Amino acid sequence: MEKFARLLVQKSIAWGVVAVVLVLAAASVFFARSVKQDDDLLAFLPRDNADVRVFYDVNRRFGGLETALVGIQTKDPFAPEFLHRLQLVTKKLNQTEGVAYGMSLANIDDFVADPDKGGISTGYLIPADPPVDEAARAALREKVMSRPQVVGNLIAEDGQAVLIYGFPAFGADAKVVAARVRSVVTEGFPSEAKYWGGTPFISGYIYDVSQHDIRTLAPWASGIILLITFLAFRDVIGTALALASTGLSIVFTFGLMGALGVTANVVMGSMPVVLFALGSAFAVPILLRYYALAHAHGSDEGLVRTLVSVGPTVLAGGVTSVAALLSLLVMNIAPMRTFGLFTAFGLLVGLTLSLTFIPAVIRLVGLKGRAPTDGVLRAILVRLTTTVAQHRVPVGVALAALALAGAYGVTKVQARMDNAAFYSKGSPPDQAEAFLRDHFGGAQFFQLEVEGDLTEPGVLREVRGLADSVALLPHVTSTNNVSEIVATIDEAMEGSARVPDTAAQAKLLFGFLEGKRAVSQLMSDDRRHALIHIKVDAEKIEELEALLAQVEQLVKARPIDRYEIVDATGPRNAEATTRLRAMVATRIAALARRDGVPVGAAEIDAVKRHLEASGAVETTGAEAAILAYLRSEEFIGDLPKTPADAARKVASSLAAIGARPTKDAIAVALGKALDRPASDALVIDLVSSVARPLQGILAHEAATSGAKRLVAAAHLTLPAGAKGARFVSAVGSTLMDLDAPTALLPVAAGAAPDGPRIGVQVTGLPVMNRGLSQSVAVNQEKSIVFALVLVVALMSVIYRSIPSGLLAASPVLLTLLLVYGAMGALGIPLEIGTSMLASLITGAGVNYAAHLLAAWRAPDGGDDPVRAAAAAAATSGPAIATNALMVCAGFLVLTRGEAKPLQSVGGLTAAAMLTAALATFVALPVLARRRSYVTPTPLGRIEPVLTSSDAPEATPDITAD
Amino acid sequence: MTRSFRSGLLLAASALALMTHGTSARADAPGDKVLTAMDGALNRAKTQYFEYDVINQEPGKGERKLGLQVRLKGDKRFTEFTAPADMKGTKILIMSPTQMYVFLPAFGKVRRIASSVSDQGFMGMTFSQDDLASQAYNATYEAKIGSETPTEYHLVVTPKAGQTTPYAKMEITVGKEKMLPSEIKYFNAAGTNVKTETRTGYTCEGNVCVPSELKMVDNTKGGASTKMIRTKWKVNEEMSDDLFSKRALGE
Repeated sequence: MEKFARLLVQKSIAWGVVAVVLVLAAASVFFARSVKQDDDLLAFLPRDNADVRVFYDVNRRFGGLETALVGIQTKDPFAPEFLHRLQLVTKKLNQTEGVAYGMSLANIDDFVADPDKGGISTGYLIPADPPVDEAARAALREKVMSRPQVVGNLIAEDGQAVLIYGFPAFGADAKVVAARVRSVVTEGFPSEAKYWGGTPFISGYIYDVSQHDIRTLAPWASGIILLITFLAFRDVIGTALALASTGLSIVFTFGLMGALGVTANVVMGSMPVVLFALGSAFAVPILLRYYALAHAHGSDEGLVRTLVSVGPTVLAGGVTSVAALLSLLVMNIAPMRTFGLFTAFGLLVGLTLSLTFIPAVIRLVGLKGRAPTDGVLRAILVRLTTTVAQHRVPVGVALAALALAGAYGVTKVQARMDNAAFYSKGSPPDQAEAFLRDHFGGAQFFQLEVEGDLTEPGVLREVRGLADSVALLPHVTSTNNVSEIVATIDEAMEGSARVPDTAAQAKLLFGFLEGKRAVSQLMSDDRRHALIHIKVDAEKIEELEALLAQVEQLVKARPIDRYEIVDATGPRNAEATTRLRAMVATRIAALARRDGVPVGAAEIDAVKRHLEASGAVETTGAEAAILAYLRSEEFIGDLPKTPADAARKVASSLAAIGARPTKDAIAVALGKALDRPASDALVIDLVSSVARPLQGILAHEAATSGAKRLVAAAHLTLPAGAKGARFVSAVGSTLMDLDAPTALLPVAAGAAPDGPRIGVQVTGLPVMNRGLSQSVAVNQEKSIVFALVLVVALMSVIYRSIPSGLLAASPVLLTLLLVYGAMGALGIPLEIGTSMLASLITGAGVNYAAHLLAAWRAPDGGDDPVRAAAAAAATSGPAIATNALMVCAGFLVLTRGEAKPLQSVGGLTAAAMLTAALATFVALPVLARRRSYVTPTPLGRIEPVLTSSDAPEATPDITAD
Repeated sequence: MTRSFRSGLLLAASALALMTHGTSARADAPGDKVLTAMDGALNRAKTQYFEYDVINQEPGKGERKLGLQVRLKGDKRFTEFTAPADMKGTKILIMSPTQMYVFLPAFGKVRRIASSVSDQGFMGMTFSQDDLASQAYNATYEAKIGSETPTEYHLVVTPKAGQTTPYAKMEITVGKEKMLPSEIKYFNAAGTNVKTETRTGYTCEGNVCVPSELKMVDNTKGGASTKMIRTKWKVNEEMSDDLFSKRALGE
């Protein structure tokens, strides 16, 4: 070290060092400008976790689930002026670059049956010219509020808010899309209260507040650090040097990231402050030491002596800090590894600059030495350490008790991740979540991914059945799945909202859904994977986790994996009937919950009993329906002019032949009505025209009649108005499934289990958060163990003694126990931000121990540990305390920001650093028993400080007494 | 979903209505005269029969193909899907803008659908009903000549006062030889070029000329596009009115 020091004090070498640093700094600035921010929260999910793998697969398959949600509060969403603006905003969103699809109440399609002409009339649910008069507005309100797919999704049930969805286009930056959506909506609704939810807005918010915090808080943090440093040095050049070396380490780090094309992330936002705080731990001791030694020996000799005495300690402490940061590499969370790697690099740069650049500049500017003062801080630290050393047994017992209490608290620490980990209470995302929960049944979603042949009606019914089962669980406010979409389009085509009976029909309906973004969120393009979206109103993480457990249990207990499609009237008809009845009963219960029909166990039992009692099929309203059909524009046949009123006679005759007529029976009935033989050409032609529509009409009428009887038998109390009517209609459509021609059943007993299968997996952000929580816990344990082992190993090598290595690590261990114990006691969860705490504590804490032990030596070679402690505190204490205060102040500033991760890291690290410094000044005097920890070791020897009241070469008696 | 139907009906059938009836309007300004001439060139045929391969391309996804046969006569349009297999045999009859019927073979029945929505695509197509149906412009738009080359006019087309139109502005490149459009850029009210349509490979039968390929790129959807490639074309052949009846749907 002395050779190196003497080399460095040569003017030419010093100039060379400064030149190299400046050139590298310039290059770093150039590259640093190209560093891009990646604010993808999903990047924090560990890829080797099973839940995470499923989530990524789903995200890839369904093109991302990052939907921007905008809630708008309004007293009257049916006011024409409001609806007009909603129409304009929705239209504009759909013409906005990067928005694949913008959806609101204004562009939802709707259809109604046309009782006169037959068929349906389709159009937007909200007419192009919203009604102005009160009666028409009331009618529109009733119509809209009767649509279950709209209420709770696009308009609040209380009619006080609307929701706009923005689906990003493929490859579009969700954050950019969110900004554009925000711009369009704000322009359209400048005065209404707006709530921005969904991943794109949350990501954007986190990015924005992190950037804002860094921009606004970094100057404050720097200022406070500057002030503390200046108070410690009382020298402008020294202060500037300390800050310049740490500043350069930040520039170099971002330069390397830019050169390597590494993106920054949310956690990386705290890296500059971390580097500033920890990096200063290298510069401060060197400068403080230099002032004293330069005063005693002159500038050049003082510089050499500084590097020889304190340099090895700084190096040892620095390398250990770097190793502690590198312990983050054992984590399986990529952004944390990136943070650990580049922060470690930054520390290494700071360490290198402290040992080269700072001495070089000192040499070139000829920094003057200064006699150290007695200082209050030094006196306090000396008093503290000597008091502890004098009362080591009681203090040791107290420390042990504290450590035990901390250890107990550690067992209470819970790893827990949820959205709230990224934003504070009362922040815009939090307000949006509360708004969505209050008005739209929740802002939390998770999904079930179903794998199977979705063109098979049996599989579509299974998807719907699964969704129905989940819909009955507590906290589930709604579900959405592709079978509902298919049922809606089937209703438009056939008049009944149900899964069609044949694969050909299902495939045909799917054809009309091609290219629909709303559908692509529910079904993959290859029609092999479906997503069931489940919306929940759970406020507490515990409620959500309990629900997840219930759903997972439900999935696990599913009766069908490998399946076969069986003829409902074939050999397994009993099983088919049972299966279909069970699904219908669940469906009716789910419909009841959806439409606000009170059902308890008694009602559900009554429904089941009714389904099992296969009563007579009634087609009460069939004649009128058939007559309406014959007079509609959908009837493509030709009725003869005679007999008079042929349509009425045909309708009457056809209505009398039962619910499931054959073509022969239809021909006979038609012939009878028209006074012609069944073999008549006109009759045969009419049979081909009316057979399929007639079957549909009769089945629908039978189901409607059956639904009314079921409602009466089960004593169901229907809501008034359109909602109640819609429930009966939905039950009727559901009952038609009892007559499905095929059913999906488990592979028959004894058959080879090689049939097609239906796979179901639970996924979504709540599942992710759970996986991430588990991962954070495991990662934390790994990184702590790894960091401690590294520290003890390095320190043991440095001190050539394992006990000394353990001694150096003891303040770190005590700090970890106290800080994590406090987290457990205070209920502060372990999450991404706090999981980096251990490495930071270890890195900084071990530095303190190294410096205190390096100065641990009783004056005049005595054996008195009290005097050794006093000497160590007097010599290294101010540097340790100064650095701890700097770190604390730097991190504490982060708590004043809005970014939750920065707040967590800031507050806890500030507390931890003070604890680490205190632990160093308390634990080491209790445990250290050797007269010296400096020779003969690679650390060299830190000479005692000479205060201004001492003679330059005298050895001070700095003990308290 | 319902949107699908109505779009399907209008769209698939009018899918090729690139040249039905014309609309006469007085054209005083040079731009309006060019627009009127273009309308005339677009709407000369009495009947037409097309077969089209339609290729939809969404960013990040594979191509999706449709096959269509379209018959046009006056206001009536009859379309039959020939591909994909799931849609084969599906027929759509448009008797008028509000009177449409669809026959879905798997259901064996005719469904009447009255629709009032025309600004959406169908089956992933970037052409909306409005895009395909608008073949006569001078009734609702006025034009000025933005620039001119020896072979082309570049029209800037905006809605006439009091007219409600799907787009706030269009820029149409019209070839002087046939007076037919080769490119149409569609703009929204904010002045953004939201879609760009190109019509290429014009061939003629007599004085009726139609493009062999139409392509619509949606600039707001990452470049999603629909290409309609004409594979067969017959013009002014005799077509019985029976071909445009509900009964024809079920046959």
